[in-house]
Amino acid sequence: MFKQITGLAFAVATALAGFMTPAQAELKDILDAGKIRIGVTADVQPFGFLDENNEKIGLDVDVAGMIAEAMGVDLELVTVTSANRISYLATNRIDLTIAAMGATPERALQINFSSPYSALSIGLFGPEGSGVDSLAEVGDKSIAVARGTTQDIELTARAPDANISRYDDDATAASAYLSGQDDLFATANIIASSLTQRDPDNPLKPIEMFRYSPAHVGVPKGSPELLQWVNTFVFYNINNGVLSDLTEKWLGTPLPENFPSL
Amino acid sequence: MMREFGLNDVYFLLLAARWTIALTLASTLIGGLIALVVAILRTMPFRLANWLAIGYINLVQGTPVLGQLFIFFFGFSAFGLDVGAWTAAVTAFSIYASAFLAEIWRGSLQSVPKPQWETSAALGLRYFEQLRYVVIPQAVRISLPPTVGFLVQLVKNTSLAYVIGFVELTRAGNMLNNATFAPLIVFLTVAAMYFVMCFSLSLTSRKLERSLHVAH
Repeated sequence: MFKQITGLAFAVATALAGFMTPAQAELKDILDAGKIRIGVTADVQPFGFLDENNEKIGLDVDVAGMIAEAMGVDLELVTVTSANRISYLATNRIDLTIAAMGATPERALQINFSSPYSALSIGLFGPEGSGVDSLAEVGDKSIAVARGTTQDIELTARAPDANISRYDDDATAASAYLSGQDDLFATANIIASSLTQRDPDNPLKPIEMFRYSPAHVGVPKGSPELLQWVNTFVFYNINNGVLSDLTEKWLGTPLPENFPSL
Repeated sequence: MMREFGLNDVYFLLLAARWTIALTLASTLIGGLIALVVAILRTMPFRLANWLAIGYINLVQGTPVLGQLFIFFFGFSAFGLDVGAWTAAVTAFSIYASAFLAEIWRGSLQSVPKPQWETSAALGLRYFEQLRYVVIPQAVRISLPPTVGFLVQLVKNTSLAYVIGFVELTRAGNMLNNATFAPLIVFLTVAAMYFVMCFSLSLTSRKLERSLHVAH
């Protein structure tokens, strides 16, 4: 109930913002201000999360730093969540959002997406000997997933009749799976392998990988110059291998040879 | 990648707890001032004022505080008003608290026996003097337990401010949980901190009640 209200409120907020369209920051405004406000998450490993000193780190935080440096402006990191990252961008609270976000046609009605700067594999995982070898064999087993994420969208599309339990974030979904509340866990491979690393006696086995899920920078509607600049930035850093190295550093594997662009 | 929950994190949660306390205090102070006015409007012998107060209380109590948070945060910014998370949260929770406190205090004002009003009127006190010197001092004692009860709720409800990106205790716990994937220890620590806050509130209230000599 509470979740529905939250979801509805965000939808209304974003729609409202779409109607009002406050003046969006264009590239020139950011350069004039000498500061760029970038929304990153603080609760999505390994994209944006807190280190031992509770400073924000992660792949997205690194990319945000690279963008500010390339523009020659100061960086202001704004913490967003998976739920409010689009509303923040649409209401001009931030100039860009770098929040492990996958591009979908629905989201693209509200914001623009840059070419992808990184990617992760998402899929369905389960314990050893779960007796499930593909999504088709799930039956009435319950699947834990973080709400509104690309894996949630993908899982819902592939198995509409499955018994899906949606949680706030990956950590909560992981807890639900590990504590036995749910039988299976749909997530990113990096999360599954981290959990396996921590508890090697209870490894998470991949049941079915959904797809390779690219992550995009979100750019507000009505800022073509900014979008073009971000695309150039991504293109340049894909070509020189910097983004591939960064992906390897945080996700364990480099980007593939023919990494798609938008 | 996933790290252990350490002492540093307890410190991080304590820092975040300051924001829970600050938000509760600010909303109680501002909300309390509004509530006082609304409670008096609600009880004074003047119909129009009563109706206004009833309308306000019903409007605020009848809408979810979550929605109010959204209105003050995203709604205002859509009109070009740049409202920060702190301002939006304090505004929303002040208004939320004002309606509930107004209703609690209205009840307290009305439960002061009628003869108290009549006697003070007979002594030649005017309406606001009756309120100030006779009725409110008695109403305060009656209102203390339910007021503190509401404040304990308010402390915990401030966690809703996370939806607009305000980092208070619960939200900080959430962030730590996603760094450590250790929900039990993270949220037990968070719960312990809430308990300390709420329990000290209740203790203070009990002390106050005793010092105000509530007979019943």
